[in-house]
Amino acid sequence: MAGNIASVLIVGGGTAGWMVAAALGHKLSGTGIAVTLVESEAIGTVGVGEATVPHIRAFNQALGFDEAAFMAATNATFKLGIEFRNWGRIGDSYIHPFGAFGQPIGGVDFHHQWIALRRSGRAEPFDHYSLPVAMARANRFAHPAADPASLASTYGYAYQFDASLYARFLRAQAEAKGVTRLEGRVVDVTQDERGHVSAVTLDDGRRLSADLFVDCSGFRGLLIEGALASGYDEWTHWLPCDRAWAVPCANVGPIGPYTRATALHAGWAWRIPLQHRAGNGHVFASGFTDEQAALDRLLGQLDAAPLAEPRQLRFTAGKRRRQWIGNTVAIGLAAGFLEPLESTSIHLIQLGIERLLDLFPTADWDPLDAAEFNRLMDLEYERVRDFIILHYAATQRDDTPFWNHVRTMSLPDSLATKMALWRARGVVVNYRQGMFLEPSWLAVYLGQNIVPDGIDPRAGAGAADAAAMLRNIASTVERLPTHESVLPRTLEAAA
Amino acid sequence: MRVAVVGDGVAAALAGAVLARAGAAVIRVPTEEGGTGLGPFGPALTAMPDWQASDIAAALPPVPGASFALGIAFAGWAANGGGWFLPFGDVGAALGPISFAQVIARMRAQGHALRFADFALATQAAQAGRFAPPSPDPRSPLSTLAMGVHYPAEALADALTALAPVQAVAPLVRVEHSEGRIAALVLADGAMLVADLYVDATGGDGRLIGHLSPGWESWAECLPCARATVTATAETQPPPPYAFHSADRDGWAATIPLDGRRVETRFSVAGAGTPYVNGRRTAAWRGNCVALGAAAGVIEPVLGAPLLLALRQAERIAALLPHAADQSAEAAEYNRLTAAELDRARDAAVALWATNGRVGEPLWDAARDRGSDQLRWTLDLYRSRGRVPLYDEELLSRADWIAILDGQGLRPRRLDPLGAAVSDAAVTAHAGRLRDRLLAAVRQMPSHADQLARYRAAS
Ligand SMILES: Cc1cc2nc3c(=O)[nH]c(=O)nc-3n(C[C@H](O)[C@H](O)[C@H](O)COP(=O)(O)OP(=O)(O)OC[C@H]3O[C@@H](n4cnc5c(N)ncnc54)[C@H](O)[C@@H]3O)c2cc1C
Repeated sequence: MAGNIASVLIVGGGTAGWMVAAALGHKLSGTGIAVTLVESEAIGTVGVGEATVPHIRAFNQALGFDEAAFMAATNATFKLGIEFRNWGRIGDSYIHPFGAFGQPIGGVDFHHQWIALRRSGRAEPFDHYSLPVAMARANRFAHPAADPASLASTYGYAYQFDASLYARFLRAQAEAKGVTRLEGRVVDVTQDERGHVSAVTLDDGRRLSADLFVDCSGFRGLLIEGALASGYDEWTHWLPCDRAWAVPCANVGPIGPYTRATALHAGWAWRIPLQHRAGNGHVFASGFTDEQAALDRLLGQLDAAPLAEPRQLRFTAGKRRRQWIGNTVAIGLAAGFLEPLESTSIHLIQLGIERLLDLFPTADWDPLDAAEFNRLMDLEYERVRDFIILHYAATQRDDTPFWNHVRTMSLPDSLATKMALWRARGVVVNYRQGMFLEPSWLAVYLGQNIVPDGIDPRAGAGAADAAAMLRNIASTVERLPTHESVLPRTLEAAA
Repeated sequence: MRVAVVGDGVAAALAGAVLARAGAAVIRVPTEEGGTGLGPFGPALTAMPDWQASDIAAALPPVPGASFALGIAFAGWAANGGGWFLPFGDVGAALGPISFAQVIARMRAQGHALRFADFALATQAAQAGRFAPPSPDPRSPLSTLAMGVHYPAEALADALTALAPVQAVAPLVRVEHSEGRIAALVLADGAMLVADLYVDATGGDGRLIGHLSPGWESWAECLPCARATVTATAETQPPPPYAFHSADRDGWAATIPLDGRRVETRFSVAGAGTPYVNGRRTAAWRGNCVALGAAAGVIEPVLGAPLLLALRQAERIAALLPHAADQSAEAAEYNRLTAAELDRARDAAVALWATNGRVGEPLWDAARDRGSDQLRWTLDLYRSRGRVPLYDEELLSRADWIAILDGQGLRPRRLDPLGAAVSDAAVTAHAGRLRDRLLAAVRQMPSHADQLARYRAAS
């Protein structure tokens, strides 16, 4: 039977590198497999990934992190969803929550009943029928209730945090599990006759060899592209945004338990409230606006004065053709990039880690491991991609060339079919794999005014039940504490 | 919304009940041809555990003649005539970072001869002739069970028909159709029946859908049997809580133990028996006509799929009940999901043929290693490292797949490297503890005969 490999080298110490290091350190402890991470302070990290999705809680729990300690260490806030402003039409606002909308009425899914009620003018906006949306708008937060019969158990939550502090937190955890950290800049990659990476050389001449390499070197993909020439599937036709300005500012008013994404002239801006500041940025398409105008738009809509010089980042939507080649696995920005509209990057890092652990290679390097990893990650990236494109495709805006382009562009077949079925009769296409489930699709479709032409013939008599749901939500929200009052904060003395 | 459901058996009764409960005005049109509408496989059906989770199953009163199912026993499929059991419900328990399948692999590497499925409570209870319904209490060992049912098809059809009000009319004599749509059904009393949607539950012939969508994809190359012969025998002994599926040189046979009757169906390549072709209709919904059951796809019931598939199809039609004459969006979605689900059920059935151990027998040698690319991928990954990929619309669970492949004698080449952190001694102790717990739980379970007597009294 094939033996175990002996060593892993992680190249890169951004969010991806340290998440991999912490997870491998934890899961490989006791196996005798050594884990090393090399990073270069001179190069630095992207470090703007600040908003997450609920799956991150499973990651933290699997690694045994205490929630309060983690939140205090990363200045984290709770996140119940994302508010989208100006996406369907200018002036619109809806929240995509981590939770469902309403409950079935008479065995018929709530959204069908809502569509019927709306026709007869008896419905409030769709997202009013969601508890986490009402909580977000009222700046309240509580952990979901344990009792599955309670309305307060029907949502999930994620975090908004300082990504560089998260990396630091993970580093401490990883080092405690025996992961070795090295400082140095990789200047050369050596391959053996099979095409496997055998070693990387640092600027000071040291050579680091290992059995498995994890490429977390960020956009440049030092190993996966630089040495192994994976190739890149570009999705810029559907996702033309290719740059971002990022800048922090002070929080103004209560700290909201949600992220905001505001559609602008040729892209959109995020606002992510942390405990000590708000992260802001503007993702834009350089083909539709110039950099200076984009920066002005961002600065013009900040809640307060900037706390640092704005930083510019450049990217191309897409993914590596193969994320695992030979003995090298790419995770994080080295593997691909989808704009942070639904906070999916850190989640895709997490999925990469979970699959790597599931398919952890053995010394015989069975190529099936890589093939299965690539099959699963391709599926995941494509399904996330379709959901992000939906936000653009489902717009009615025609006020700028950018919005005209995305409103009228041709769509991937997989998405076009889904939207056609929704438009015809309000059915959401579901898959076994794929992170965004029916409520997420409903949130965007109905939040952006894509209402089906037809009513489900079973729907019709739900007015009283729907009104009762609104009352139940309102009375539940009233009893919940404010978001700020439940934040586990850094103890000044310990800091 | 007027829906005409055409057919005589369980498939039509199921469609009628599901659609009527979804608010459609259902008209049942008999064809006087009999049969279940699920393929010519006999008057006994195995309902896999997922059936039990449906609204329809929850609404059903006890059905006379039914018996409980804890799994399916297989014999003659693996090498050396080795028999094995596909249990319903959970199998074993993970140990820290390693899955239970890995626990088994580790024990084998240490030289212990044991089988994955033996660590399911269902397997042990079936062997002991005992039965208890699953417990909702997660701390109870009975919570690891999942219940299947063996149904007499006619009694099940009657019970389903009684569930919801449907209008009955005279039998079908002719189908009027033009331009890819059904225009009307001509009935024996001369009446013309017109509906918004026509549901074809007439079995493999597809008496309605065949006019609009005749294309049929045959799977005979991987599922070679094409004749079914049914024998029913009265039985006074209490039935075992499992069906028995045994392979032989010329095909295979299913024995389904009903309460008071044993139904045996033989599946063979040629000879006497009712003919059928394993396969599926290329488009199960076209125009204003949708097929379900054997009219949509035929898979011999080696893994008990037909009834569950028909339920899923009926529920899918209910969720897609059209509201306009143009039903193309509904049809596209129904066809996509129905085809994918049938293909996955086919792959599960083909897995038994592709991995068969009957070396030297022409029928079985020809079937070995056949199958779709997805099935090949599943088998390759399993042989490589014991991993089972689950595709969209997969019918089986990961534990089902492992029980089947493990039973067939497939052994992964590699152990999970992450398991190295757990010592052999810890693995052995864990397996020992699980076995003790299972055996203790089985001893507490009532006999299947007692449970059946209680069920019978309620029906
Ligand atoms: C504008 C923007 C906004 C984003 N917002 C979000 C969000 O809200 N939520 C979310 O989940 N994600 C977000 N992301 C994505 C998120 O930032 C990244 O997924 C995450 O930071 C992981 O980055 P990384 O570790 O892969 O790469 P990086 O942060 O770029 O790290 C690369 C590492 O490799 C090292 N390295 C590179 N070259 C060498 C070399 N030659 N030698 C040695 N070391 C080297 C660097 O030192 C660094 O440590 C956003 C991304 C962008 C661009």
